[in-house]
Amino acid sequence: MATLDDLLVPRDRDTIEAILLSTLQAEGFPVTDWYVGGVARTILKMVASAILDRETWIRYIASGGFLDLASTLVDPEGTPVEGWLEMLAAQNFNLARAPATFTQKTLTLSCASGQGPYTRAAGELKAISQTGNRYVNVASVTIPDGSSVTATFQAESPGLIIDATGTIDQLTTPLPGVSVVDATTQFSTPVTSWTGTGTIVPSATGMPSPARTLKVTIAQSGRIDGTGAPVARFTLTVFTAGTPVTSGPYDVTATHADGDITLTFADGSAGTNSFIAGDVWYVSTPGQPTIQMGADQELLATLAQRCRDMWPALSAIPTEGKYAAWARQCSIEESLGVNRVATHPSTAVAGVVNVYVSDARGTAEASTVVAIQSYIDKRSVDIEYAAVDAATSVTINLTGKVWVKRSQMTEVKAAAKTSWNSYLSGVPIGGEMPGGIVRVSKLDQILEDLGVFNSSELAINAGGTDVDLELDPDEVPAASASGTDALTWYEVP
Amino acid sequence: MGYEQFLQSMVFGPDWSHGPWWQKFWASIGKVIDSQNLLMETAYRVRNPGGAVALGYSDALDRQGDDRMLPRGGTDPTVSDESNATYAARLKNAWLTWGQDPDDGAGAGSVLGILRQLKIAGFPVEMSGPPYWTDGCFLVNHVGKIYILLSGGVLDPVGTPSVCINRKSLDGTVSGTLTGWTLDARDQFYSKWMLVFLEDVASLTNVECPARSRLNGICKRWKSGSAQYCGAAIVPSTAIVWGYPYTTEWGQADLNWGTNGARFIDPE
Repeated sequence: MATLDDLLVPRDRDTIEAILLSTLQAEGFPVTDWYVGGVARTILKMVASAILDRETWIRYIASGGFLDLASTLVDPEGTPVEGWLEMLAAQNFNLARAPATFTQKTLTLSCASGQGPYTRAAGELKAISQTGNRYVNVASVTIPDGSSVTATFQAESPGLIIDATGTIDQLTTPLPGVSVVDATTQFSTPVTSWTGTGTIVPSATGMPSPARTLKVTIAQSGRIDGTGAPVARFTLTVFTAGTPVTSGPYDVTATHADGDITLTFADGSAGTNSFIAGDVWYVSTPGQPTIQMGADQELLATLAQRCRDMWPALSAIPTEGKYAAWARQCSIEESLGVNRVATHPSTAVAGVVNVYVSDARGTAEASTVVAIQSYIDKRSVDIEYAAVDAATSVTINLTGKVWVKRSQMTEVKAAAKTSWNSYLSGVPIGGEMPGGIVRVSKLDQILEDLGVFNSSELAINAGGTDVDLELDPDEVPAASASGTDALTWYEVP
Repeated sequence: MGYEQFLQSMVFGPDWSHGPWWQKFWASIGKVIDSQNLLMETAYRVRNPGGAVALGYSDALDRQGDDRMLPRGGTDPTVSDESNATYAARLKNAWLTWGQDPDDGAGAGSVLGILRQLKIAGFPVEMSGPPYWTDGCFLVNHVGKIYILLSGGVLDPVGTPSVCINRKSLDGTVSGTLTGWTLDARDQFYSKWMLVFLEDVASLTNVECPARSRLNGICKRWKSGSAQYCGAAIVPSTAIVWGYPYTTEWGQADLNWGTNGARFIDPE
């Protein structure tokens, strides 16, 4: 029986030449008399070389119709051939591969009294993090004298950048009296699906606690003052650690308290509805400085997954796969950098599905969570809904001993750290299957591949030598700052 | 016209290159190129269900099934012996399988969608009755809704028969008014559900095995997002367990899971 392998393994030039010889022999040519290097064999070798490329095209055509095969296609030199999957995704699923994106952060610029004000156009201010990553302001900004202002800065290079909050603290285009920091704020920038003219402003004394997301859904159109329109009503959903609790509906009044957070409502245009039924408004506390997490160009495997996601998307009733697909698609459309999604039906609330998300760092910003929550809310059905939350980050600390040749120490340590962090950035939420684990054997393999002399007593989070770390279904590993540097490295002469 | 003919035609090359031996030479070269062209055509055709069936590329169908998330079915959960023709027809119908069939609904996230996929995978979910307690499978949810798949693949929402009124109240008592099985300590945790097989599934045991993996995989993939699958009970009609058959009396012999084939299969 014919198999795909017949089409996926190109025949080499010698094989093609042998087929040509065989065919000619069948026609009566005395091919056994033709010696290598002679005119006839040389002509056949030329013909075989000329049509050899067609063998590769047979493989391309066959592979190009299947997601997994197209996503791993390489040319004869081993270079990835990415166009086939991109074409398959575009033509069969109407999906475009996501390009690399830039990290964007909100930086706070403060100016000492008597030193300002300063106004700088887009691109004129550059900040640098403690890890050396550079950011540029994306729009004109005026820093008032004796006060502060927030502005959006974008990383100079695309792709994943990891800078802990509070570590972008220096301007490389210095201004006298001006300091910069990527500070945590009380609230995120609200995410809205809003058609009314009314407004909501959150406030609190100090940093609100616990961290949570508030969702206001206008249940009945109207106004606060009830003049010329009925009094509007709303429901409040509070997501704490991924568990939603909905209360209301309440009349929209000037203020509404949720613990230590006060929501201040204000009417818009007089005499007509300020708040429109169906409008939703989200805010998270605390507000993280990261607006957009940069990501590398979408992996082909991820693109293939998004293509598969289109099947459950056909269903009128959302499945876990459909929720996961929405989360992935939202991340692509809004450049959120989410590379892992897990879904589980809630064990706490009937009719709720928990959606856990993580970016390559092993966490997700509150703004990312809110954006995906909003995206799903617009699409889910009335009878059930999703509660989106960041996967629980588990920092991976390593112990163990590694012996490396002295001359290779620097490059091996650097390569080990890069490879290990890369591995962790791809471990699914809930761990690798089977077992839901972070594999210590992967570390062993990385070190071996890098040619270390020996390694021993490798352990993750002090869990014992060569013991894999088990993750809960909502947990995701995050690389520690030191990564594999935390191992004890010994030089071998 | 293939290359075998083209290279021998007078439009290709001058007259001197079309003598008897030259023609044989060109025919040979042309045959090899034509065979490559045929492989290219094959490579294209096997990407689709009809082509893969026509050309006998069984593994190409399996690849298409991976892409459509519709694996090949079988007569038992441990085998994949669905014929190429049947499988190809299912793959062509992937749109309505995942979405909604205009005739009977179904689709992912529905009870019928789940039961159909289990049937395709080789699980005995279809009932041959009446009577409806000798074979097949019940899909039961916490608040007492029971669904069965009748012969021919038609869904029958049985409702809440009186034999199912044994759910516990929040205080732990069996009031006799709450329908359903106690899948949760909370009264109205409606999104929990389970399967009850009324005949043995020999390959399905409560250890890591292909049949359990397939069962749990189908239930997770095809149920609605918030629905929580609680596992499967296998209660062959010869088995006697607490509460089943409902004529069972307290003190009767063999009132244990694990006897006469009765057992529970954990979800993931």
